[in-house]
Amino acid sequence: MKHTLSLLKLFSFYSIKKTIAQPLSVFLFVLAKVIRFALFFFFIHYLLSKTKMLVGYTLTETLLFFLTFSLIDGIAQLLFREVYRFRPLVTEGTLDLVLTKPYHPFLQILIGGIDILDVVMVVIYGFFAVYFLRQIDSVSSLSIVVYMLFLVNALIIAAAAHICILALGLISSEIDNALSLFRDVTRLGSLPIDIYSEPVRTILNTVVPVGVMMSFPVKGYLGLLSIQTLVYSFLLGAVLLWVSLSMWRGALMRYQSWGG
Amino acid sequence: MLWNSVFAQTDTIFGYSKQYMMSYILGVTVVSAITTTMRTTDVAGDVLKGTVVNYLIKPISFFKYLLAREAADKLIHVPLAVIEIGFLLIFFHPPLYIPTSITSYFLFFLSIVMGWCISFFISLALSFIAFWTTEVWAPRFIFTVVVSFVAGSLFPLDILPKPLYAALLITPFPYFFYAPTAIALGKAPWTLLMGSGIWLIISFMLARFIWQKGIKEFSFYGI
Repeated sequence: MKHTLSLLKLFSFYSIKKTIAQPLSVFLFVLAKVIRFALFFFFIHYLLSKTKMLVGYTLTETLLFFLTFSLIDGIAQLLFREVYRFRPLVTEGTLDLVLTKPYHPFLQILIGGIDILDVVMVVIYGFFAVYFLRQIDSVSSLSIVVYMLFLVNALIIAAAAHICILALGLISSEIDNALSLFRDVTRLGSLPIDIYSEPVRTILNTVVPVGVMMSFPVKGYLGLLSIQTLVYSFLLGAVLLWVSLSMWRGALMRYQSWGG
Repeated sequence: MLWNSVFAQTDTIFGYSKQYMMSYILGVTVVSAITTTMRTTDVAGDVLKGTVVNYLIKPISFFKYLLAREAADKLIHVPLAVIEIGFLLIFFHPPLYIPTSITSYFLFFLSIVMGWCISFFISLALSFIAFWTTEVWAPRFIFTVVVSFVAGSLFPLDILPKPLYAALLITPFPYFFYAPTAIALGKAPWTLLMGSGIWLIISFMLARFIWQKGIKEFSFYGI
Protein backbone atom coordinates (compact mmCIF):
# COMPACT_ATOMS: atom_id res chain seq x y z
CA MET A 1 0.00 0.00 0.00
CA LYS A 2 2.83 2.37 0.94
CA HIS A 3 4.56 1.51 -2.34
CA THR A 4 1.34 2.18 -4.28
CA LEU A 5 0.85 5.54 -2.60
CA SER A 6 4.42 6.62 -3.28
CA LEU A 7 3.98 5.67 -6.95
CA LEU A 8 0.73 7.59 -7.12
CA LYS A 9 2.46 10.58 -5.55
CA LEU A 10 5.22 10.34 -8.13
CA PHE A 11 2.80 10.12 -11.09
CA SER A 12 0.79 13.04 -9.73
CA PHE A 13 3.96 15.09 -9.24
CA TYR A 14 5.03 14.51 -12.86
CA SER A 15 1.54 15.27 -14.13
CA ILE A 16 1.35 18.56 -12.22
CA LYS A 17 4.87 19.50 -13.30
CA LYS A 18 3.96 18.86 -16.95
CA THR A 19 0.84 21.02 -16.68
CA ILE A 20 2.46 24.01 -14.99
CA ALA A 21 5.23 24.04 -17.59
CA GLN A 22 2.77 26.16 -19.62
CA PRO A 23 1.65 28.79 -17.09
CA LEU A 24 -0.27 30.90 -19.61
CA SER A 25 -2.33 27.90 -20.69
CA VAL A 26 -2.99 27.01 -17.06
CA PHE A 27 -4.28 30.52 -16.41
CA LEU A 28 -6.45 30.61 -19.55
CA PHE A 29 -7.93 27.15 -19.00
CA VAL A 30 -8.81 27.96 -15.38
CA LEU A 31 -10.22 31.30 -16.51
CA ALA A 32 -12.41 29.54 -19.11
CA LYS A 33 -13.70 27.08 -16.54
CA VAL A 34 -14.47 29.90 -14.10
CA ILE A 35 -16.31 31.80 -16.86
CA ARG A 36 -18.36 28.71 -17.77
CA PHE A 37 -19.25 28.10 -14.13
CA ALA A 38 -20.12 31.76 -13.50
CA LEU A 39 -22.27 32.07 -16.63
CA PHE A 40 -24.28 28.94 -15.89
CA PHE A 41 -24.64 29.98 -12.25
CA PHE A 42 -25.91 33.36 -13.41
CA PHE A 43 -28.35 31.74 -15.85
CA ILE A 44 -29.93 29.50 -13.18
CA HIS A 45 -30.10 32.42 -10.78
CA TYR A 46 -31.68 34.68 -13.41
CA LEU A 47 -34.21 32.07 -14.53
CA LEU A 48 -35.32 31.17 -11.03
CA SER A 49 -35.53 34.78 -9.99
CA LYS A 50 -38.54 34.84 -12.36
CA THR A 51 -40.03 31.38 -11.81
CA LYS A 52 -39.16 31.12 -8.06
CA MET A 53 -39.31 27.30 -8.24
CA LEU A 54 -38.11 24.59 -10.62
CA VAL A 55 -40.04 21.30 -10.42
CA GLY A 56 -40.70 22.02 -6.76
CA TYR A 57 -37.16 23.07 -5.84
CA THR A 58 -36.25 26.54 -4.60
CA LEU A 59 -33.43 28.64 -6.05
CA THR A 60 -31.01 27.53 -3.31
CA GLU A 61 -31.86 23.86 -3.83
CA THR A 62 -31.57 24.12 -7.62
CA LEU A 63 -28.18 25.82 -7.28
CA LEU A 64 -27.15 23.04 -4.92
CA PHE A 65 -28.03 20.45 -7.59
CA PHE A 66 -25.86 22.34 -10.08
CA LEU A 67 -22.99 22.73 -7.60
CA THR A 68 -23.10 19.06 -6.62
CA PHE A 69 -23.02 18.10 -10.30
CA SER A 70 -20.05 20.43 -10.85
CA LEU A 71 -18.26 19.03 -7.80
CA ILE A 72 -18.69 15.38 -8.84
CA ASP A 73 -17.84 16.13 -12.46
CA GLY A 74 -14.80 18.15 -11.36
CA ILE A 75 -13.47 15.46 -8.99
CA ALA A 76 -14.02 12.77 -11.64
CA GLN A 77 -12.04 14.79 -14.19
CA LEU A 78 -9.35 15.55 -11.65
CA LEU A 79 -8.91 11.88 -10.77
CA PHE A 80 -9.48 10.18 -14.13
CA ARG A 81 -7.84 12.67 -16.53
CA GLU A 82 -5.32 10.06 -17.67
CA VAL A 83 -8.13 8.11 -19.38
CA TYR A 84 -8.27 10.98 -21.91
CA ARG A 85 -4.68 10.13 -22.87
CA PHE A 86 -5.19 6.37 -23.12
CA ARG A 87 -5.73 6.04 -26.88
CA PRO A 88 -2.14 6.76 -28.00
CA LEU A 89 -0.89 4.18 -25.49
CA VAL A 90 -2.99 1.53 -27.24
CA THR A 91 -2.40 2.60 -30.84
CA GLU A 92 1.35 3.11 -30.42
CA GLY A 93 1.81 -0.09 -28.44
CA THR A 94 3.33 1.63 -25.41
CA LEU A 95 0.58 0.19 -23.22
CA ASP A 96 2.63 -3.02 -23.13
CA LEU A 97 5.25 -1.15 -21.14
CA VAL A 98 2.60 -0.25 -18.56
CA LEU A 99 1.10 -3.74 -18.38
CA THR A 100 4.47 -5.36 -17.72
CA LYS A 101 5.25 -3.06 -14.77
CA PRO A 102 4.97 -4.58 -11.26
CA TYR A 103 2.02 -2.47 -10.21
CA HIS A 104 -1.66 -2.34 -11.14
CA PRO A 105 -2.07 -0.61 -14.53
CA PHE A 106 -4.95 1.52 -13.18
CA LEU A 107 -2.41 3.32 -11.05
CA GLN A 108 -1.05 4.82 -14.24
CA ILE A 109 -3.81 4.71 -16.86
CA LEU A 110 -6.78 5.53 -14.62
CA ILE A 111 -5.60 7.76 -11.77
CA GLY A 112 -2.02 8.48 -12.78
CA GLY A 113 -2.58 11.91 -14.29
CA ILE A 114 -4.14 14.21 -11.73
CA ASP A 115 -5.24 17.45 -13.37
CA ILE A 116 -4.12 20.46 -11.36
CA LEU A 117 -6.54 22.73 -13.27
CA ASP A 118 -9.47 20.81 -11.86
CA VAL A 119 -8.06 21.07 -8.33
CA VAL A 120 -8.65 24.82 -8.51
CA MET A 121 -12.17 24.34 -9.80
CA VAL A 122 -13.05 21.63 -7.28
CA VAL A 123 -12.03 23.97 -4.47
CA ILE A 124 -14.32 26.68 -5.92
CA TYR A 125 -17.23 24.24 -6.39
CA GLY A 126 -16.66 22.82 -2.90
CA PHE A 127 -16.66 26.26 -1.32
CA PHE A 128 -19.96 27.23 -2.96
CA ALA A 129 -21.51 23.81 -2.27
CA VAL A 130 -20.72 24.11 1.45
CA TYR A 131 -22.13 27.65 1.46
CA PHE A 132 -25.44 26.56 -0.11
CA LEU A 133 -25.64 23.36 1.98
CA ARG A 134 -25.56 25.60 5.05
CA GLN A 135 -28.32 27.79 3.59
CA ILE A 136 -30.83 24.93 3.81
CA ASP A 137 -32.52 24.72 7.17
CA SER A 138 -34.10 21.67 8.80
CA VAL A 139 -31.33 19.24 7.96
CA SER A 140 -29.54 17.06 10.50
CA SER A 141 -25.95 15.89 10.75
CA LEU A 142 -27.23 12.59 9.32
CA SER A 143 -28.11 14.50 6.13
CA ILE A 144 -24.48 15.52 5.75
CA VAL A 145 -23.37 11.89 6.17
CA VAL A 146 -25.92 10.80 3.55
CA TYR A 147 -24.73 13.55 1.18
CA MET A 148 -21.09 12.50 1.60
CA LEU A 149 -21.94 8.81 1.08
CA PHE A 150 -23.79 9.66 -2.13
CA LEU A 151 -20.81 11.71 -3.32
CA VAL A 152 -18.55 8.70 -2.78
CA ASN A 153 -21.09 6.48 -4.55
CA ALA A 154 -21.18 8.92 -7.49
CA LEU A 155 -17.38 8.73 -7.75
CA ILE A 156 -17.53 4.92 -7.67
CA ILE A 157 -20.00 5.02 -10.59
CA ALA A 158 -17.76 7.52 -12.40
CA ALA A 159 -14.76 5.22 -11.82
CA ALA A 160 -16.78 2.26 -13.16
CA ALA A 161 -17.70 4.27 -16.28
CA HIS A 162 -14.06 5.23 -16.89
CA ILE A 163 -12.91 1.62 -16.44
CA CYS A 164 -15.54 0.52 -18.99
CA ILE A 165 -14.19 3.16 -21.39
CA LEU A 166 -10.64 1.87 -20.82
CA ALA A 167 -11.84 -1.68 -21.54
CA LEU A 168 -13.54 -0.48 -24.72
CA GLY A 169 -10.38 1.37 -25.70
CA LEU A 170 -8.32 -1.74 -25.15
CA ILE A 171 -10.23 -3.82 -27.68
CA SER A 172 -11.28 -1.14 -30.16
CA SER A 173 -9.01 1.89 -29.52
CA GLU A 174 -12.27 3.85 -29.33
CA ILE A 175 -11.87 6.32 -26.46
CA ASP A 176 -12.60 9.89 -27.50
CA ASN A 177 -16.19 9.39 -28.64
CA ALA A 178 -16.96 7.18 -25.63
CA LEU A 179 -15.65 9.91 -23.32
CA SER A 180 -17.67 12.57 -25.14
CA LEU A 181 -20.76 10.41 -24.78
CA PHE A 182 -20.08 9.96 -21.06
CA ARG A 183 -19.61 13.74 -20.60
CA ASP A 184 -22.78 14.52 -22.56
CA VAL A 185 -24.85 11.99 -20.64
CA THR A 186 -23.60 13.08 -17.21
CA ARG A 187 -24.33 16.69 -18.16
CA LEU A 188 -28.02 15.71 -18.11
CA GLY A 189 -27.60 15.68 -14.34
CA SER A 190 -26.56 19.31 -14.02
CA LEU A 191 -30.11 20.14 -12.92
CA PRO A 192 -32.55 18.05 -10.85
CA ILE A 193 -33.36 14.83 -12.66
CA ASP A 194 -37.05 15.56 -11.97
CA ILE A 195 -37.11 17.97 -14.93
CA TYR A 196 -37.21 14.94 -17.21
CA SER A 197 -40.54 13.28 -17.89
CA GLU A 198 -41.12 9.53 -17.81
CA PRO A 199 -39.73 7.20 -19.12
CA VAL A 200 -36.54 9.29 -19.48
CA ARG A 201 -36.39 9.88 -15.71
CA THR A 202 -36.56 6.14 -14.91
CA ILE A 203 -33.87 5.43 -17.51
CA LEU A 204 -31.65 8.08 -15.91
CA ASN A 205 -32.12 6.47 -12.50
CA THR A 206 -31.52 2.89 -13.61
CA VAL A 207 -30.00 2.06 -17.01
CA VAL A 208 -27.87 5.19 -17.26
CA PRO A 209 -27.62 6.14 -13.58
CA VAL A 210 -27.00 9.86 -14.01
CA GLY A 211 -29.76 10.58 -11.51
CA VAL A 212 -28.14 8.34 -8.89
CA MET A 213 -24.80 10.03 -9.51
CA MET A 214 -25.78 13.68 -9.70
CA SER A 215 -29.23 14.21 -8.16
CA PHE A 216 -29.36 11.67 -5.33
CA PRO A 217 -26.75 13.41 -3.12
CA VAL A 218 -28.93 16.54 -2.87
CA LYS A 219 -32.15 14.57 -2.68
CA GLY A 220 -30.64 12.50 0.12
CA TYR A 221 -29.51 15.68 1.87
CA LEU A 222 -33.01 17.12 1.62
CA GLY A 223 -34.46 13.88 3.06
CA LEU A 224 -36.39 13.05 -0.11
CA LEU A 225 -35.11 9.48 -0.50
CA SER A 226 -36.32 6.32 1.24
CA ILE A 227 -33.97 3.84 2.90
CA GLN A 228 -34.72 1.39 0.06
CA THR A 229 -33.53 3.96 -2.48
CA LEU A 230 -30.36 4.44 -0.47
CA VAL A 231 -29.65 0.70 -0.45
CA TYR A 232 -30.47 0.45 -4.17
CA SER A 233 -28.06 3.29 -5.00
CA PHE A 234 -25.12 1.80 -3.15
CA LEU A 235 -25.82 -1.67 -4.52
CA LEU A 236 -25.96 -0.18 -8.01
CA GLY A 237 -22.58 1.49 -7.46
CA ALA A 238 -21.05 -1.79 -6.29
CA VAL A 239 -22.56 -3.79 -9.16
CA LEU A 240 -21.39 -1.27 -11.77
CA LEU A 241 -17.86 -1.34 -10.36
CA TRP A 242 -17.86 -5.15 -10.44
CA VAL A 243 -19.18 -5.18 -14.02
CA SER A 244 -16.55 -2.66 -15.14
CA LEU A 245 -13.72 -4.67 -13.57
CA SER A 246 -15.04 -7.82 -15.26
CA MET A 247 -15.12 -5.93 -18.57
CA TRP A 248 -11.53 -4.80 -18.05
CA ARG A 249 -10.37 -8.37 -17.31
CA GLY A 250 -12.29 -9.63 -20.37
CA ALA A 251 -10.75 -6.91 -22.56
CA LEU A 252 -7.27 -7.75 -21.29
CA MET A 253 -7.79 -11.38 -22.34
CA ARG A 254 -8.64 -10.22 -25.88
CA TYR A 255 -5.96 -7.52 -26.09
CA GLN A 256 -3.24 -7.93 -28.66
CA SER A 257 -0.49 -5.37 -28.79
CA TRP A 258 -0.87 -2.82 -31.58
CA GLY A 259 2.69 -1.67 -31.55
CA GLY A 260 5.73 -2.96 -33.23
CA MET B 1 -36.58 19.56 -20.74
CA LEU B 2 -35.60 22.52 -18.59
CA TRP B 3 -37.96 24.79 -20.50
CA ASN B 4 -40.68 22.13 -20.41
CA SER B 5 -40.45 22.16 -16.62
CA VAL B 6 -40.50 25.95 -16.54
CA PHE B 7 -43.63 26.09 -18.70
CA ALA B 8 -45.36 23.55 -16.45
CA GLN B 9 -45.54 26.41 -13.92
CA THR B 10 -46.34 29.36 -16.17
CA ASP B 11 -47.76 30.13 -19.62
CA THR B 12 -45.21 32.75 -20.59
CA ILE B 13 -41.77 33.65 -19.37
CA PHE B 14 -39.59 36.58 -20.45
CA GLY B 15 -42.25 37.26 -23.12
CA TYR B 16 -41.96 33.80 -24.65
CA SER B 17 -44.79 31.29 -24.87
CA LYS B 18 -44.02 27.57 -24.71
CA GLN B 19 -44.59 27.31 -28.48
CA TYR B 20 -42.04 30.00 -29.29
CA MET B 21 -39.49 28.81 -26.74
CA MET B 22 -39.63 25.20 -27.96
CA SER B 23 -39.38 26.39 -31.57
CA TYR B 24 -36.38 28.51 -30.63
CA ILE B 25 -34.57 25.72 -28.77
CA LEU B 26 -35.12 23.16 -31.54
CA GLY B 27 -34.37 25.72 -34.26
CA VAL B 28 -31.15 26.86 -32.63
CA THR B 29 -29.95 23.25 -32.47
CA VAL B 30 -30.13 23.00 -36.26
CA VAL B 31 -28.68 26.49 -36.71
CA SER B 32 -25.72 25.73 -34.43
CA ALA B 33 -25.01 22.54 -36.41
CA ILE B 34 -24.78 24.69 -39.54
CA THR B 35 -22.89 27.71 -38.28
CA THR B 36 -20.42 26.04 -35.91
CA THR B 37 -17.18 25.51 -37.76
CA MET B 38 -15.45 22.22 -37.06
CA ARG B 39 -12.48 21.90 -39.38
CA THR B 40 -10.83 25.27 -38.86
CA THR B 41 -9.45 23.99 -35.54
CA ASP B 42 -7.21 21.63 -37.56
CA VAL B 43 -5.42 24.63 -39.05
CA ALA B 44 -3.65 25.38 -35.76
CA GLY B 45 -2.29 21.84 -35.73
CA ASP B 46 -1.21 22.19 -39.38
CA VAL B 47 0.71 25.38 -38.57
CA LEU B 48 2.38 23.88 -35.50
CA LYS B 49 3.36 20.68 -37.33
CA GLY B 50 4.41 22.62 -40.41
CA THR B 51 2.06 20.65 -42.68
CA VAL B 52 0.40 23.93 -43.65
CA VAL B 53 3.15 24.23 -46.29
CA ASN B 54 1.42 21.43 -48.21
CA TYR B 55 -1.45 23.83 -48.87
CA LEU B 56 0.71 26.85 -49.56
CA ILE B 57 2.53 25.25 -52.49
CA LYS B 58 -0.72 24.29 -54.22
CA PRO B 59 -2.22 26.60 -56.85
CA ILE B 60 -5.42 27.13 -54.85
CA SER B 61 -6.60 29.76 -52.42
CA PHE B 62 -6.08 28.52 -48.85
CA PHE B 63 -9.21 30.31 -47.62
CA LYS B 64 -11.38 28.93 -50.43
CA TYR B 65 -10.01 25.44 -49.85
CA LEU B 66 -10.89 25.65 -46.13
CA LEU B 67 -14.35 27.01 -46.90
CA ALA B 68 -15.00 24.12 -49.30
CA ARG B 69 -13.78 21.61 -46.71
CA GLU B 70 -16.02 23.17 -44.09
CA ALA B 71 -19.02 23.04 -46.44
CA ALA B 72 -18.36 19.36 -47.13
CA ASP B 73 -18.22 18.73 -43.39
CA LYS B 74 -21.65 20.32 -43.07
CA LEU B 75 -23.09 17.75 -45.47
CA ILE B 76 -22.42 15.17 -42.75
CA HIS B 77 -23.30 17.11 -39.61
CA VAL B 78 -26.45 18.97 -40.68
CA PRO B 79 -28.44 15.85 -41.67
CA LEU B 80 -27.45 14.28 -38.34
CA ALA B 81 -28.78 17.31 -36.46
CA VAL B 82 -32.01 17.18 -38.49
CA ILE B 83 -32.42 13.48 -37.67
CA GLU B 84 -31.80 14.25 -33.98
CA ILE B 85 -34.50 16.95 -34.05
CA GLY B 86 -36.80 14.57 -35.92
CA PHE B 87 -36.54 12.03 -33.09
CA LEU B 88 -37.28 14.72 -30.51
CA LEU B 89 -40.35 15.81 -32.48
CA ILE B 90 -41.61 12.23 -32.76
CA PHE B 91 -41.11 11.39 -29.08
CA PHE B 92 -42.08 14.64 -27.38
CA HIS B 93 -44.52 16.36 -29.79
CA PRO B 94 -43.52 19.87 -28.71
CA PRO B 95 -45.82 22.71 -29.82
CA LEU B 96 -44.00 24.52 -32.62
CA TYR B 97 -44.28 27.81 -34.45
CA ILE B 98 -43.66 27.38 -38.16
CA PRO B 99 -43.01 30.65 -40.07
CA THR B 100 -45.31 31.06 -43.05
CA SER B 101 -43.82 34.10 -44.74
CA ILE B 102 -41.35 33.58 -47.58
CA THR B 103 -39.50 36.70 -46.41
CA SER B 104 -38.74 35.03 -43.04
CA TYR B 105 -37.16 32.09 -44.82
CA PHE B 106 -35.14 34.38 -47.08
CA LEU B 107 -33.86 36.47 -44.14
CA PHE B 108 -33.15 33.27 -42.21
CA PHE B 109 -31.09 31.92 -45.12
CA LEU B 110 -29.15 35.17 -45.42
CA SER B 111 -28.54 35.37 -41.69
CA ILE B 112 -27.41 31.74 -41.40
CA VAL B 113 -24.92 32.08 -44.27
CA MET B 114 -23.46 35.21 -42.69
CA GLY B 115 -23.42 33.54 -39.24
CA TRP B 116 -21.52 30.60 -40.67
CA CYS B 117 -18.98 32.88 -42.37
CA ILE B 118 -18.42 35.00 -39.23
CA SER B 119 -17.91 31.86 -37.15
CA PHE B 120 -15.56 30.49 -39.83
CA PHE B 121 -13.36 33.59 -40.04
CA ILE B 122 -13.15 34.11 -36.26
CA SER B 123 -12.33 30.46 -35.68
CA LEU B 124 -9.70 30.67 -38.42
CA ALA B 125 -8.17 33.79 -36.86
CA LEU B 126 -7.92 31.90 -33.55
CA SER B 127 -6.12 29.04 -35.28
CA PHE B 128 -3.64 31.48 -36.83
CA ILE B 129 -2.39 32.27 -33.29
CA ALA B 130 -0.29 29.15 -33.86
CA PHE B 131 2.04 31.26 -36.05
CA TRP B 132 3.33 32.93 -32.88
CA THR B 133 2.73 30.48 -30.00
CA THR B 134 2.15 26.81 -29.30
CA GLU B 135 -0.45 27.65 -26.66
CA VAL B 136 -3.40 27.66 -29.04
CA TRP B 137 -5.89 25.39 -27.29
CA ALA B 138 -6.54 27.50 -24.21
CA PRO B 139 -7.76 30.60 -26.17
CA ARG B 140 -9.96 28.30 -28.25
CA PHE B 141 -11.38 26.74 -25.09
CA ILE B 142 -12.29 30.21 -23.79
CA PHE B 143 -13.87 31.02 -27.17
CA THR B 144 -15.93 27.80 -27.09
CA VAL B 145 -17.09 28.47 -23.52
CA VAL B 146 -18.13 32.03 -24.34
CA VAL B 147 -19.87 31.00 -27.57
CA SER B 148 -21.77 28.20 -25.83
CA PHE B 149 -23.38 30.76 -23.56
CA VAL B 150 -23.61 34.13 -25.27
CA ALA B 151 -24.35 32.96 -28.81
CA GLY B 152 -27.84 31.89 -27.80
CA SER B 153 -27.65 28.11 -27.88
CA LEU B 154 -29.13 27.70 -24.37
CA PHE B 155 -31.78 30.40 -24.47
CA PRO B 156 -32.89 33.35 -26.62
CA LEU B 157 -30.62 36.27 -25.77
CA ASP B 158 -33.47 38.80 -25.64
CA ILE B 159 -34.60 37.29 -22.32
CA LEU B 160 -31.54 38.88 -20.71
CA PRO B 161 -31.73 42.33 -19.10
CA LYS B 162 -31.92 44.96 -21.85
CA PRO B 163 -28.49 46.61 -21.25
CA LEU B 164 -26.81 43.19 -21.30
CA TYR B 165 -28.67 42.20 -24.47
CA ALA B 166 -27.71 45.49 -26.14
CA ALA B 167 -24.08 44.99 -25.11
CA LEU B 168 -24.05 41.46 -26.52
CA LEU B 169 -25.31 42.71 -29.89
CA ILE B 170 -22.10 44.71 -30.23
CA THR B 171 -20.11 41.46 -30.08
CA PRO B 172 -20.05 38.91 -32.94
CA PHE B 173 -21.46 36.04 -30.87
CA PRO B 174 -25.25 36.61 -31.20
CA TYR B 175 -24.91 36.43 -34.99
CA PHE B 176 -23.76 32.78 -34.83
CA PHE B 177 -26.95 31.16 -33.50
CA TYR B 178 -29.35 33.69 -32.02
CA ALA B 179 -29.84 36.06 -34.95
CA PRO B 180 -30.78 33.44 -37.60
CA THR B 181 -33.17 31.61 -35.26
CA ALA B 182 -34.82 34.73 -33.82
CA ILE B 183 -35.22 36.28 -37.30
CA ALA B 184 -36.87 33.10 -38.60
CA LEU B 185 -39.30 33.11 -35.67
CA GLY B 186 -40.04 36.79 -36.14
CA LYS B 187 -38.69 37.50 -32.62
CA ALA B 188 -35.92 39.81 -33.80
CA PRO B 189 -35.99 42.61 -36.36
CA TRP B 190 -34.36 42.14 -39.76
CA THR B 191 -32.00 44.97 -38.80
CA LEU B 192 -29.92 42.35 -36.96
CA LEU B 193 -28.72 41.45 -40.45
CA MET B 194 -26.81 44.72 -40.46
CA GLY B 195 -24.89 43.55 -37.42
CA SER B 196 -24.19 40.26 -39.20
CA GLY B 197 -22.96 42.16 -42.26
CA ILE B 198 -20.65 44.40 -40.24
CA TRP B 199 -19.18 41.46 -38.32
CA LEU B 200 -18.77 39.48 -41.52
CA ILE B 201 -16.57 42.23 -42.95
CA ILE B 202 -14.64 42.71 -39.68
CA SER B 203 -14.06 38.97 -39.14
CA PHE B 204 -12.94 38.45 -42.75
CA MET B 205 -10.50 41.37 -42.60
CA LEU B 206 -9.22 40.23 -39.22
CA ALA B 207 -8.60 36.65 -40.41
CA ARG B 208 -6.92 37.88 -43.59
CA PHE B 209 -4.77 40.39 -41.70
CA ILE B 210 -3.58 37.78 -39.16
CA TRP B 211 -2.97 35.28 -41.98
CA GLN B 212 -0.85 37.75 -43.98
CA LYS B 213 1.13 38.74 -40.88
CA GLY B 214 1.57 35.15 -39.78
CA ILE B 215 2.60 33.75 -43.12
CA LYS B 216 5.38 36.35 -43.38
CA GLU B 217 6.83 35.18 -40.06
CA PHE B 218 6.28 31.49 -40.71
CA SER B 219 9.29 29.33 -41.40
CA PHE B 220 9.66 25.60 -41.36
CA TYR B 221 12.11 22.93 -42.40
CA GLY B 222 12.05 19.18 -42.43
CA ILE B 223 9.31 16.66 -43.33
